[in-house]
Amino acid sequence: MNNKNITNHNTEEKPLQNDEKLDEKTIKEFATKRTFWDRIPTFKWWVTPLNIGLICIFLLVIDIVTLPNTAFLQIDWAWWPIGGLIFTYVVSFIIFKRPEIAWIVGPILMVGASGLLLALDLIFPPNDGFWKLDWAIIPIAALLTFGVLIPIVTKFGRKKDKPIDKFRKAVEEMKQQELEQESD
Amino acid sequence: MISKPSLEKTDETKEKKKSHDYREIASQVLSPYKEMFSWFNSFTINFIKKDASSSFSSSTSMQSIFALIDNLAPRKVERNVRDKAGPFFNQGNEIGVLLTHGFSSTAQEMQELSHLLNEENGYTTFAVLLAGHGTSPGDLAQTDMIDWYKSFKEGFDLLKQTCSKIILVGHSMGATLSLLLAANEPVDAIVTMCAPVKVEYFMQDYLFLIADLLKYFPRRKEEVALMDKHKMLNYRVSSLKAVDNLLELMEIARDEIHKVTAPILTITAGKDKRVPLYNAEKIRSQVNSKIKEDFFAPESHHTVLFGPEKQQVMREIQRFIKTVI
Repeated sequence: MNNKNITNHNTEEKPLQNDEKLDEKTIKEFATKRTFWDRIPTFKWWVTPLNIGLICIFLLVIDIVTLPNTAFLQIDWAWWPIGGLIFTYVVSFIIFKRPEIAWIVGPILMVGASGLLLALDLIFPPNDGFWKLDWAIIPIAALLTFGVLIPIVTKFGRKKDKPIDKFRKAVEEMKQQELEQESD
Repeated sequence: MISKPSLEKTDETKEKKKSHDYREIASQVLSPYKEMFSWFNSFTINFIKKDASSSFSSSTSMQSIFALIDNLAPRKVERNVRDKAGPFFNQGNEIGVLLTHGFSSTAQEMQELSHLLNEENGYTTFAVLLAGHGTSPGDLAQTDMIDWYKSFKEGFDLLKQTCSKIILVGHSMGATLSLLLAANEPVDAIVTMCAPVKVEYFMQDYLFLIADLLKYFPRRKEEVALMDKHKMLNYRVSSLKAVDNLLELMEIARDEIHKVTAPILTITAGKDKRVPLYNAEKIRSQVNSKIKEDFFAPESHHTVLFGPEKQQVMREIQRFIKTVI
């Protein structure tokens, strides 16, 4: 790979030069052919966290200005949507930035979310259902099945080529390329 | 009357002693964690500096945080070959020696040996630079054993154009690649230095899972010290994905090694902690070469070409080439 040009140690690639100038008509045609996903604008890195922060402030304000204000720091219910928002943001951030670790980060966070739901259900009465749970058993079961077990099972069960097969295939390809070059 | 204060004093000293003991116990208990923290710091620092010649001790917590973020969302990968790390070619006679460096090392490793073989024996020498090496650990993480083999084969093809006889000399992973090439292409002799074909690393079967979470792993302190001492351009961190590929390369070598028929010299180092000595025995027992020789350097570490017996090692390589060619 690096050995084609021995003297030149700098392997920096030159930018592609496009000699053909596109006319306006082609540009318009190209623009109309774009898919829905291409049309979604991109944002600077601080836009999403800032928007989440603003939503959190909004939720806090409406919680505080409305009664009864008896809970911790006069915030009665806003903790839950704020926590949920931040949780969702962190999960999606990690998964989009490093999709290869989604199989482990996702399950860990889902176990955390299940624990939270479990605690919530146990704290509030009547606690007369299965294992003293009233409603949390269903979302917990869903989280553990789809968010924990399935990702881990699929990760471990991924098919992988044998190294020797990969190598022999590569050697054959190289030999074929050599033959083609010789015949040219 | 006198005894009371003295008793109090003894109590105080006892308490002091006790507290001192507790401190000692606490420090003993915490010491592995301290070590772990320093490991984490050094790892992140090496990572953030793209493993420049940084020492393990120099680090700040802020840099660690940045590095952690960088590990979650890696930045652009550096692909420019570092100064003095690139491949080099020394024109000589029709006998060509193809020199290959080890894992995460560069062609610089072979400079002295190449110079010796070219100057004293007149051989044409070519030290290749394997794909993903000599640039950055991020670049290495994006290559695999097939890429390494292809770049090695390119070097072989280039040398074949000018030389009628070709000898492969490789160190560590470069030696494993030499064995693979010798199994698939006609060569005249092979010299392997500390070639691994079977190693036992901690949790090596689960490396592909760990590699998802932890992309890079710092090299041992003594290894880094050795690299600093000899101004080697090796990476100070190892990409776990690349290590996984190295293990796969060994697996391939174990399947292909019986095809080797060229004369072989295996060089082993007595203090090699990376590649156990049984690897050389395994190679010699499995190849189908008529001439099989071995050289043991008892005082050398894995990097035999930088060890106390490097002169003997290089002389032995010269002697072997002379005898088989």
